[in-house]
Amino acid sequence: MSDQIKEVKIDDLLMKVEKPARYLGNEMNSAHKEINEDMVRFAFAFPDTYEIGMSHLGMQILYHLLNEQQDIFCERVFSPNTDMENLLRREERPLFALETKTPLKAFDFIGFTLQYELSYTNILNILDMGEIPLFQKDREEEDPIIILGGPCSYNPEPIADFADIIVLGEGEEIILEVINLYKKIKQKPNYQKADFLLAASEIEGIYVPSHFAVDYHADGRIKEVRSTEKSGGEQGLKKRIIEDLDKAYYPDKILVPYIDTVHNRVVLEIFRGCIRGCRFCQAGMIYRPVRERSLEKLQTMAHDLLQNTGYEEISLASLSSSDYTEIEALIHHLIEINQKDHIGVSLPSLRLDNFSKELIEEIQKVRKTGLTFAPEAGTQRLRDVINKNIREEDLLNSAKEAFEMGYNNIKLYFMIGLPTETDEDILGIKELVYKVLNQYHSLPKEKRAGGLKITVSTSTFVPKAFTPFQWEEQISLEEIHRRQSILKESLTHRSINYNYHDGKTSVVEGAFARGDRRLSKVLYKAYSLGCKFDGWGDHFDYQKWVKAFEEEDSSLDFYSHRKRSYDEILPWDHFDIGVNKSYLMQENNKAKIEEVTPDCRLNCSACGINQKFTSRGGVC
Amino acid sequence: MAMLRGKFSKTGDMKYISHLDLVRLFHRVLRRAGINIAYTQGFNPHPIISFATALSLGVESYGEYFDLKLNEEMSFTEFQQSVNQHMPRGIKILDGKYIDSKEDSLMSMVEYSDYLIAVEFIDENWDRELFEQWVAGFLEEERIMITRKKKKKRRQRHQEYKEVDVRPLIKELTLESVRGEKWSLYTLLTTGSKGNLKPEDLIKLFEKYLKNQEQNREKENPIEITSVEITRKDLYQEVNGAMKNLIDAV
Repeated sequence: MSDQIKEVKIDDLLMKVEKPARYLGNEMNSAHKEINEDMVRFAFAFPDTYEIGMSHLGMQILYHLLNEQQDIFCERVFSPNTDMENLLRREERPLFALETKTPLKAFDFIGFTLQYELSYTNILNILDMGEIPLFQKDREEEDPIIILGGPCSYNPEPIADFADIIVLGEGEEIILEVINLYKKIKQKPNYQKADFLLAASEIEGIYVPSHFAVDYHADGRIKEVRSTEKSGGEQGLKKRIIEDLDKAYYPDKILVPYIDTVHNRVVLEIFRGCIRGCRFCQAGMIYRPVRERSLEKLQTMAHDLLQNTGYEEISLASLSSSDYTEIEALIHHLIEINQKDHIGVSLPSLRLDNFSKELIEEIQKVRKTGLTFAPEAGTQRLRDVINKNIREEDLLNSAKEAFEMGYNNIKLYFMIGLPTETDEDILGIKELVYKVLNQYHSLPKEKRAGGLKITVSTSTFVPKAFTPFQWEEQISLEEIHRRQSILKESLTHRSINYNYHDGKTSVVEGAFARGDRRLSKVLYKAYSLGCKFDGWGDHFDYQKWVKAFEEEDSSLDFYSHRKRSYDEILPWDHFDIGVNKSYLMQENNKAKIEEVTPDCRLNCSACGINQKFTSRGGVC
Repeated sequence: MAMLRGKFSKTGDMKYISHLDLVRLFHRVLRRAGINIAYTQGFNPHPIISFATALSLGVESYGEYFDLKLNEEMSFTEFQQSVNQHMPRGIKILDGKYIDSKEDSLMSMVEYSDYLIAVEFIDENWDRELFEQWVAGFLEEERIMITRKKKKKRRQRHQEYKEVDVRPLIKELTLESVRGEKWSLYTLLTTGSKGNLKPEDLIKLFEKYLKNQEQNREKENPIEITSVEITRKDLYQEVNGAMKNLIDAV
């Protein structure tokens, strides 16, 4: 850090903002290091509030991983809440990283995690508050290197113009490779950032957007993605994976916030990937293949994490916890911990078809919360289209068992606007919910708990990159509203509570999920018009987005509501995530004829992931 | 089973931690320190620990108290050392002893608390004598009225307010020191179920009084307090006419 950059003073602001503990940066297990000149300073930026960011497992992993290296100091930065932002801007003080209050512009790297398309404007806001030029082309040698990663980086094109480097895939190994390379290259005489970017582009999993240019057809579709003269020997843009999770870095301690956050507990990541092949699900495709942690490893991890945090609750993380091969043994172990140390256990993402009554009874000994099920669609036909592989009986039996066990609070998740959906499928949601209701009422009064509450939530289907539905259209805003109102009018029972997502946010999310590089300008325009915290209903302003698209001569229809043909070049086609495009097409074709594909353990459907990405020779 | 009463400080950054968050912080630190704490029975067991009285956000303190039930008695020094090792900077166990579990709860014992209130004023250079006169004048007021929210009754829509005279709750108020721009007041206030006045309210009332004085004197610059820093010194119970802190009182 250069001498003239001083830490940002905030003591006089803390009593003027809500929850000042968000800005202290001295939580249990936070890193504080003596700063020296050879240290690489990395600011891990989460483009949302403290409460959301602190609940994010990836941040916890990378933060501790980096801070375990002697010559790297990783600090955190979150989107400040509006009250703090206003004070900082009024006082003309730059945004800072929490641990040392150092202004962002003094860092070597600022790493943003792309969790959600609607947090992109917050990225621009953080850069702006940090007094860092937003566009990559405008940044100078002394500005930090902006590095992006996370799930949305599988199609990073809409935000590509703001990034120096984009990481494709899992970050645990690649982040150290990138920083070590930076250390090496920076020592050379006449160091220039471009030298580093060129060298970094040779690391597998690193994408340098400025090394590529995109040409378009007159109708707006992509004609070609080509390397520019800046580009070097790009090694093929393949995602990075950690093959053996038992050997992968996992912190034995995590940050413990002072204030309540979304997930204020120990999170134990039990496996990555998913054996199911739901056709709408991006996570299920991009995180392939399935890699489980061993039971022994998880037991050690659980013990260390609880010991080092003092948390009173532990929760399992994965895309589908009940698919973990040793789930029963794991839960028995956790229950044992519970009985001696009073640790609560929570088990999200259970599936309906292998929902075990015994398991639930075990967990129930600890704490009885609500149960959540996700049938996703209301009719068997549509569940076959999306390959959800869940039958009505599964749901009804599970619901009945839950009611018998004394549960009276059930949540049901559905999507509307799935490909081929008709009004019959929408009404199918209603029918299914009422069948669940009848399961409750069919039990004798003394066998069920009173005060039944069924919460039905629908979100709007957003087609995502690298899924079998990546070519499909998203339904129009009017259509979203019409389908929501059908449910609003039919789910009127007093025990049923119907929630739905604002369709307008889904439309903008849809545009950025499958957008191309021209959307960087729209994003900038929307930000200039005042858009930020777009994922929050009270901040999101659809009219500003509409205006941004208009002023940049772009179109929401083109990105959100347009069906693509198989021969169109998609903005993310130059990346390789291991799953073949032919497999995605085949799955899309099977959806059209309502044919299901069994899960990966029952029958390998040759998606391609194990041919190029693991040493296991095609076996998952 | 053993009941441990502890005294701790809450200073520096930790003054920004709310009472609820402080309680949770204690739970987690005690677990990390491996203290054999007793838990409540029932569905959702939690550590048996209680605190004397909540401190407002932004107020530092050298006299906070807790009662903690342990399954097994351990030496207080050992307890203090291992807990302090796991506490964030700013929270420190200062003192403690084992008490009879039949003792009154901390919450019902506390009657008084004392504070240092450092204030800065806008544009004023007062001499000490004048300021002391004002303090005396303030205390000579027959009544010092404050508006408080009434407890809402069930199904009541609008908040109702009442006027309360808090003069009897101010036991002491003196000018402690003057250091540059900072004027430090010392005050002893009634605290707890038998009457309660917060130092931040006291200082607002004093400011209001000063403003009235100003008007009387028709000065040009209005008096305005620009910053207030409050430190709680200790919590007390009156035992045979003497102020005893909550450890000495048992």
